[in-house]
Amino acid sequence: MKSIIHRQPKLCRVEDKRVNMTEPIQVFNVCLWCCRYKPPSTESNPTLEDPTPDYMNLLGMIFSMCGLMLKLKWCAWIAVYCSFISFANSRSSEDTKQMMSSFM
Amino acid sequence: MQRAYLLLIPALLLLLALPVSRGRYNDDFDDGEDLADFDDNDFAEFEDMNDDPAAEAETAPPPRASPSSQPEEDEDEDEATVELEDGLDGFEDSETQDQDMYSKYDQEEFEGIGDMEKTGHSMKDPLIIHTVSQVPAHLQNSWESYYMEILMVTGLLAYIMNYIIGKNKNSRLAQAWFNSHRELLESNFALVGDDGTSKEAVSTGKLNQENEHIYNLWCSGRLCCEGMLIQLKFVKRQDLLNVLARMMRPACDQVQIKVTLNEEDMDTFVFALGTKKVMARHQKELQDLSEFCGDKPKSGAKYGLPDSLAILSEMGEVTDGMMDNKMVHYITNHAEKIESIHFSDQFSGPKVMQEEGQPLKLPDTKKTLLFTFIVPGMGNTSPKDMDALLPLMNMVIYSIDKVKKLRLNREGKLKADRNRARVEENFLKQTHAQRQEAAQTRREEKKRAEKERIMNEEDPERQRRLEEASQRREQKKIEKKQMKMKQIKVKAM
Repeated sequence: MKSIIHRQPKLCRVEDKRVNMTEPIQVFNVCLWCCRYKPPSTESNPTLEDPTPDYMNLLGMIFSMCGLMLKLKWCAWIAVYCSFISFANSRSSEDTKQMMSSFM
Repeated sequence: MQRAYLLLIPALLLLLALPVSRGRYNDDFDDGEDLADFDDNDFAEFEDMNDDPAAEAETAPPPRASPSSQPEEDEDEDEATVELEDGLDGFEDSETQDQDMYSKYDQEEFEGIGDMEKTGHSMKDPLIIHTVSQVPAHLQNSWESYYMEILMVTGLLAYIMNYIIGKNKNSRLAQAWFNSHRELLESNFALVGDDGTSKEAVSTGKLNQENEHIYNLWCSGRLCCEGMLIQLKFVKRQDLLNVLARMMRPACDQVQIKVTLNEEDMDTFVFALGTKKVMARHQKELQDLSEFCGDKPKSGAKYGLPDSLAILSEMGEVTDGMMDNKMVHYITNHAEKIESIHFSDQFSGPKVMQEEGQPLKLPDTKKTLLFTFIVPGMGNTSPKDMDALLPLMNMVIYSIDKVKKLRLNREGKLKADRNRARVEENFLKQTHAQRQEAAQTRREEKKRAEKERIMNEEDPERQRRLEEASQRREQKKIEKKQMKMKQIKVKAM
């Protein structure tokens, strides 16, 4: 039943192949059913998703907290690197504001 | 490009933060100077300095520079900034002042004053720093003290450069692929490119960018199939770590095509073809291949295919039907680009592993054709290589029509139906206990809900009537069960 909800008719002009060049081109208006694109839900396929950006985000936050609390410079630098890597691997659908805050 | 700009903003912020960060970490002293241990005394770090008032002038500019850029650190105990400024004002006078002070001290009264003179130590002149080399690293104004920051920032800049270059390369490859395939797709599908957001089914005519390395294209509007999802899965050229990892372990760009068919477009069979390693892996991981294709993968050489390819099939008839001349021709000519081909009417994805045992019902299946192609170049692809995949797209279109036409004969159909019934039975047996438990809990829930309803009834008359009705129902159920048991006993006898 799902597919019927996403189906929409689309009118197309189809030109029939001519066997003989002397014959006139036959054009048909064909109504084709087009299924709309449905992005695959991530809940059903958690294994297919790449976990790298989420892990890197988490690591970045942990290292930044360590760097802040324990005053370790190298922790802070690693946090910066983690947030860059998370940004590079992230999906386009993610919020830009969230990413900028992770840089902070 | 927007994302590249977003990356540059934090990099700039970092560069600005450098002078601020300089003062915060006083623990990083690189020089091996013999500095005093930190006392509660603020000026303890300046103890044990040689007396050379002339060299003090060199140290004056850096301390002067730091207060001006760090006004907020005046309260910081470790920083002698405030005191430095005060000291600098009376700099010239303090020297002479000290000498006068020393001469005033009575040698007998004050012990150790001679030593203090020799070392030049004075509690009242804590700011005299005598040689440049004794200045702590974080107060020196030379590039050596910044080597860590310079290194890190260089690394970040390299990462950003790689990100921009990698992103552009992936984008160019995707565009090249689309340009070479556009005509074929538009002639076969009514809808080429859809992101699912617009109201009308209008072709966007461009790829959906899911990621910096994954591009999608949805095509629909063709006889014999519901739709086709093409995923261009490139390697992560935009991530420097990935680029370095690929130097150790090469990876290649992939094109994954998933064609979903309508119910009437495909007969009931499961068939897969691909490289031996991939077939072995799929047989373990995929639900339908593990259930319906129990035998080990057979070599493709029997059908005239290269030896590197293996076949998994539900029955021999299917393989014979699929491997006609044209198909064999396609596969043989492009064997190095084919990773796997999978046709299945019972496709439901990889095996689902659940913690609480088996799922209670069979996963949803869909009639699907899956193709995974490898882009030639092993990671070092150029846009020209994308044209080499065009014949494979022709093969995909041909397969769709072929699958529609392929019908099993009577025996094949019977065998296929028996297989499916067997799989379902096995599944039901395994989950029998769980389903019983679930049914029991549901029954108890129902009873409890009914009892609650009766209790909540305010009118006592109605309450009594409802109670009687539920009692009668339960009595009927018990009688029914008893009848059934009697019938079974009679039948058994």
